[in-house]
Amino acid sequence: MDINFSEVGIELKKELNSLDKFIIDFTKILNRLNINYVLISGYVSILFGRNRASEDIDVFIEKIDFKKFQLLWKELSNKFECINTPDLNEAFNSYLNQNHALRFSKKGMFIPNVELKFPKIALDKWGIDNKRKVILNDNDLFISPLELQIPFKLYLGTEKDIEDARFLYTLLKENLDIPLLEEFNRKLKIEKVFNRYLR
Amino acid sequence: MKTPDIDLKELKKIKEENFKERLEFLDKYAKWLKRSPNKRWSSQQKKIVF
Repeated sequence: MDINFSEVGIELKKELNSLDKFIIDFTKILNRLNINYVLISGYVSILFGRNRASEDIDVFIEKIDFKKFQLLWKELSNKFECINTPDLNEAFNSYLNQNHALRFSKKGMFIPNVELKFPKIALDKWGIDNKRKVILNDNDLFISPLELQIPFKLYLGTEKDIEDARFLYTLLKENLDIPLLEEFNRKLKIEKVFNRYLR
Repeated sequence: MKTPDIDLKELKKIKEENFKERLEFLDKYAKWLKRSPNKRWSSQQKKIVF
């Protein structure tokens, strides 16, 4: 795999799949509005080449106020629609601001969709504050650091999550900050799982 | 790099809440599938399932 880790970010050129194209369309709007976000969970492993399907892409966005959300809603409305509710006020007040995820798909579609949520805990916020840029065929995407994503997948602990963690670690370990990853292993108390499946 | 403290009890609760939300979404999706013609839902499915 040709992949370049640098100060600028992680540069990757590849044939785009439908999920890549979908999330590029969505994140272009977040980028344009200067809303901090990170892609997390399953799509991260698909982004780096894992062959598996996913019907949604999890995205944390920084906490924004209603005014900014209105702008986002308006921009998204050109191409996307909210699956939970067509009502802007309800979307913000009853979902996003209550720490429930909002799902957006392309108009008239149900899948794939983006599962958009505010950070709930310090760990989620840390991911946004320490986001890593991926330059995918000249498109900027931001992901939560792999040093957190891999341990967190192990913490979740389903077979699918462990496989994702193993895939990412095996593929990218030479470029990871291992002491940082091990710190998250300790804090999430998953050293045994790490040693069993990834070491 | 400073990393945050992690409250594992809180994280467990969030994991359960997220699972509940995913189940609710699956219910919603299954209901949508039931009322959608096969051509409509399968044309969406083929884009994400190899």
